[in-house]
Amino acid sequence: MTIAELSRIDRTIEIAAPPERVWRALTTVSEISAWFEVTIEGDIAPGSTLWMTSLHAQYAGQRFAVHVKEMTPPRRFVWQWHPGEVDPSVDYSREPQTTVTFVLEPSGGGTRLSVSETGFNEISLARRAKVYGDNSQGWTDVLAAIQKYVEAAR
Amino acid sequence: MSKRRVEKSLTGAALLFAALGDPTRLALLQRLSQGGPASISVLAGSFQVTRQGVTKHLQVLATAGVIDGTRRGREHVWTLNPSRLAEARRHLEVIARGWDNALDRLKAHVEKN
Repeated sequence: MTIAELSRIDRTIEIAAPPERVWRALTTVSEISAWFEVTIEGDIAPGSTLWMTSLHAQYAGQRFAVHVKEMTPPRRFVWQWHPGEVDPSVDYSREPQTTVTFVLEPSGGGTRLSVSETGFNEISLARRAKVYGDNSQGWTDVLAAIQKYVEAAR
Repeated sequence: MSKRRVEKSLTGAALLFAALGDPTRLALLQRLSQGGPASISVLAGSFQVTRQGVTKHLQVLATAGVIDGTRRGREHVWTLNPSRLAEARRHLEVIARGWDNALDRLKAHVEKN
């Protein structure tokens, strides 16, 4: 493990559909609502800011801004956001964000989709602490499961 | 497991990421992970930071448990604590699991439509 790896997340998935189809699912309001489990206000376009409100049982009602940085169909979709943002009384606009990059590559007849979230190292001291504090409710179950697993393995 | 224990572990994570949320501290960790244990004089020599500044950063890292200090003669020697860094990684993996779930839903959504 390198120190650099502590500042980013990388994930890849193979999808049995062409990149054009996956692109549509990533960038169409009705489709992203369905799989990302959010309602969306605003348009998905380069430079636009849209607001997502979570429909997920654990985070229901949390509303957060997503800034669309780049759209290169059907290859690259980039947005920035504040991880863990939930407190409507706090102005996050001047704080550093993490960058989420979706990269679509043809693979066989389907698509290899990679998502990376970078910039965790830029999040300030206070903010970093708050990100983890804010998420504590949502993470409680996951952490409980991990701890249970670890303890059972002893 | 009690909710209190979960909260305690989250407080620990916040402290840990706070310690990592600074370029000089990340550079210090990088140096300790690649070059092995080092004294303050050696570390201050390799960065454009005063000895006092380095000491302050090392103390933040030590409080978060990312490095351990031992006295060797007149000097403090600092060593990386890999298990604590692995813990930081596990917390990032919790966020990553959120992405895994979202991507699984995306895949299911695209492949059935």
